[in-house]
Amino acid sequence: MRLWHHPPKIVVWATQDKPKYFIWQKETHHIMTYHHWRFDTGWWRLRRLWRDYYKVTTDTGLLALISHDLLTDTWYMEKLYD
Amino acid sequence: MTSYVELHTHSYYSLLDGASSPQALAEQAKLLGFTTLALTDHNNVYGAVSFQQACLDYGIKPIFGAEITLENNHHLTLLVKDATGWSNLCYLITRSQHNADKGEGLLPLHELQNHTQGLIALSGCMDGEISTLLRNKQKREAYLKAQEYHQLFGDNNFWIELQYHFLPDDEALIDALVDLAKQTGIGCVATNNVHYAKQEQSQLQDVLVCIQHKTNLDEASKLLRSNSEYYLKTDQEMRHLFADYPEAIENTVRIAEKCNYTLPDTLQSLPQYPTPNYETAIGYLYELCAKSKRHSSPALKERLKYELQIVEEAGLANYFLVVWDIVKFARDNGIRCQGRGSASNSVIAYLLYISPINPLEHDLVFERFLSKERSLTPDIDIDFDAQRREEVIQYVYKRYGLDHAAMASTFVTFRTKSAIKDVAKIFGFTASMADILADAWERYSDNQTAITMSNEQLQQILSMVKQIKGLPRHLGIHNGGMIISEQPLYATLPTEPATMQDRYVVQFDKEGLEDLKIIKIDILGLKMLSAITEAEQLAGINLETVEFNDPSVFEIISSADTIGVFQVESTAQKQMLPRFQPKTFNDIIIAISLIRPGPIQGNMVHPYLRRRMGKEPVTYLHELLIPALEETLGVILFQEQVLKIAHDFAGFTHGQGELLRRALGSKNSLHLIDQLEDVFIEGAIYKGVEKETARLVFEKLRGFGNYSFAKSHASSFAVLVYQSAWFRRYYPLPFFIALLNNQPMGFWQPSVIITDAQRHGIKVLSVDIEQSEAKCTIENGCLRLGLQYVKGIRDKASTRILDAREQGAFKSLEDFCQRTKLPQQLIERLIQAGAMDSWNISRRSLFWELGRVRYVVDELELDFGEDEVDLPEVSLAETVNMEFQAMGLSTQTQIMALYRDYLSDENILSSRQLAKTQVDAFVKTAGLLVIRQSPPTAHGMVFLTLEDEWGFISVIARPNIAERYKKIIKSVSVLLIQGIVQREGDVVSVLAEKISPITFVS
Repeated sequence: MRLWHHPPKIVVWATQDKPKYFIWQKETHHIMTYHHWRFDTGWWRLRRLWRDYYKVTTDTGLLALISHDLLTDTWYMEKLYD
Repeated sequence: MTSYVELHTHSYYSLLDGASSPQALAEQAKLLGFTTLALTDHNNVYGAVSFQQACLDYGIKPIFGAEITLENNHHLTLLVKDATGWSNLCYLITRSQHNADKGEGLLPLHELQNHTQGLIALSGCMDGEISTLLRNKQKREAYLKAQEYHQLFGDNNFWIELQYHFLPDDEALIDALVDLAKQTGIGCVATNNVHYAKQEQSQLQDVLVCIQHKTNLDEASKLLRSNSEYYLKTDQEMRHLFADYPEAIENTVRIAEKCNYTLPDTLQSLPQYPTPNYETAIGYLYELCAKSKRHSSPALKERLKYELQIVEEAGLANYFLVVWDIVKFARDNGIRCQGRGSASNSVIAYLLYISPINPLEHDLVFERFLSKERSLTPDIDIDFDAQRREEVIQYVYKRYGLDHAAMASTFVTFRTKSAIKDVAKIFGFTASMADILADAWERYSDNQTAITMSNEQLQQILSMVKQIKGLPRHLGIHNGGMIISEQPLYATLPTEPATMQDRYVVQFDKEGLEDLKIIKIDILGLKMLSAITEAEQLAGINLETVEFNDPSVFEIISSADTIGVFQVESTAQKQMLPRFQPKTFNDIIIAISLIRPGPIQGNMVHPYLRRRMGKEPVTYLHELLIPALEETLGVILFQEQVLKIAHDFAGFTHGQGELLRRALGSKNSLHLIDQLEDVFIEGAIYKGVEKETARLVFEKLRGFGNYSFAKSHASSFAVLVYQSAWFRRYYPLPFFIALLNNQPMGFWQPSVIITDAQRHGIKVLSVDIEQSEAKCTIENGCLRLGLQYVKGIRDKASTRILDAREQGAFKSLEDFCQRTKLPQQLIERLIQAGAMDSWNISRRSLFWELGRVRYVVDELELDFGEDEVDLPEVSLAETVNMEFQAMGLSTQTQIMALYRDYLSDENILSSRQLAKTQVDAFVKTAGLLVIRQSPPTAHGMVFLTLEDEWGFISVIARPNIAERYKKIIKSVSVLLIQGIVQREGDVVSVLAEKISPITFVS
């Protein structure tokens, strides 16, 4: 499993907040299933964490945890189960 | 038009959990296009009345309900379908509240049996019983539990509640709940468990939860919600969330259609007073009035007949009997009491001894209390001897039963300072840092620019403080408002235990009860009644025979020698009385009505005084106004005068006049006032008044009506003014003792009362462990301070001293310590107070000795030796200082005497010298600051009262001076004032130009 201290940004295509596919290491990965949850916390530490997390499986066989920062509209690769 | 109805909503009445008011929720619902909204606070319906009103304002249909906590700690959402459902909800809330600690609810499961009719239950949030079982993978148990609730509530009255907040387990739980619903045939319904109207308020909710759990944000992670999804979501958002289960959305509408209960116009149900021989209430009321020893004149009889007719028409005969019964209990048991407020306008109240005032003697208007035109039922407020009020309250509970009597509740809200402290702490500040921040805010609150916080977190704190201010923090108990009900209260109003033992409160506050037209009987405690009773006992006299016409009593009032006299002792009164020179009981009524925020704001005081002193002619806009305004020299002062003017001048009935008066006092009645103005002017013209004059008179009423004061209320209080002044005049020693034994009360602190007593020739003896009783007493014609005047000595400690003393006099400090076993700190204070001076050992030596004494609380067998120590004598200044530390007062000398030589050398004037100083002279004067006032009506002016050996010095600081010396005024107790002498009649004051501290002590 790979876990990043500073998760890398990724490009994700999503419709109605549902991620459809993303690019990782120059390859497109279509999302087959996902499990989704949302955090909004830490605002009092001046580091508000308002994020959607998606644990996804892809057509390329990846099992990954990606996140969507709702404050900056940025996607990250959080964990890769390989 | 939406097709989703939110059925699970918490307002800020889910105390320290919900963040929005019912009004804000209704407003947001309207904004989102909702037509219906449910309110389901935790184990309460505190917000029901304001929610209904808000929904009415925004055109929303309200649904009432509550989220009940069951005995097993699981939640169940209940919604009211009809009146039976409301009744059952009230019952269930009452049972849950009475089964748990204050502020919580735990409903015994068996209570649900037979109390589900008229209710719809939703299975609850993720903490609901069924959700919990499913989360624990106990599918079979969940199935059985669902069947059980289904049976309990009946078909279509129990629903599986689905919530989706983007929590990690939500999707799985929803799938499991939907499966269970399919298996059992029970319908599903979506809710959002709303805790705030708008998403951005989630941070406020986090803060409230931390305050609730007394923790800070960093340590509260498990208590806080994971995200900000608990807001009132739109129909579209909810449909999107439950796209896979559209029927869960549609079912919200189906359920809402079944819930059609609104709170009725009134929930009043007074118990029937058991009249003898099955007499009617009105018949028995008449009989009681007719038999009254106060029933004397034909005029009274005529007025009684009229009042009884109105009372019968209003259906209030029974109400009077219930109140009479309470007053009778008090009187039969020697508990001094008297009615206050508008009830004193009633002859019935007078004849039944509810009110001390004969309305005919004081020209009081019954319609101010009750009229055909007035739909509101008036409260009757009664003051009781504060020390014995609890006996009266317990009598009511006993007479009507705990299920039929309860007190009104009140909501304790966040004030700025408490909010800062609470919020700062939950942001991780220490308690002392939070105090510093609160003090800084208080100091600079009038100058917001001074708190330009650079620190972002401080800004967050301040932003949160602004949001939290005014929110309810916890439920309190109303001052004295009691509700009594024929049917058990739980059938219409939930009750819950109060913090105070043997007290129960209804879940509505004063305003809520008023809106539901529920009569509240105010059983208030008044310490002056306790003091008068005590003075009576000490003097061995009976006040009943005292007439209200003794010139020497009016003399002390006119000379403002009134410290301790009810209502006329304040600095403002003391400034006014020498100019006013009251000579009659009616003058007292006027005097206590003048110094009120209303008349002061309405600028009534000076015009009246000028006319009273003959400096301004007494004029009337029209001769028809003379009967109404003659007693106040043409100035509109009393509320009752508005009724009389409307009657005499414009032909209104007194009842219509009361409607006018109420309209004048309400900000929301501008349209009604305009309508009444037309009727008023027409009526005046019909009486031959010119239109312009009629218009002018109405303008006067419009200007003054709102500021006027109830004469009936002032009349009741005037009785106590006279009686306390009478005691002060004829029995000063019992009077001062009674005052000191009933502190805190009134305007002045005990140290000022003591000095005043001494100035009037009363010898005050300090606390003495051999002589003092627990309270102050008469000792050989002197005033002996009680043991409880020493800080920290209460009933237990004083009893211990008195019990030990009964076994024989104390032989030494060691003997005292060993026999009383009091903590060392208390003994230190007794020494400081001079309570052991009779041993003729210096206080300093006693302190030294205390360090060596061994007794129970100091079990160490240490040998301190027997060395004699030569300690310096304690100076007078040190003695006074010690006594102030121990008791907050000193019997030795007024503190300014210690400064007198220095002050004389520096030509700093005393109060006595100041009284003889020419007006406009520039002077220096000094005194102990005893009162500091900055009333909102004074627009930044600050009024200081300083005291010295001979009396008081009034100091006025204009806003610029008050601002410049703010720090000194707030923190220094002995002040030097430099300024200009002002004089009005005999009243002297100093207009301050410079204020400084005096630190020199001889």
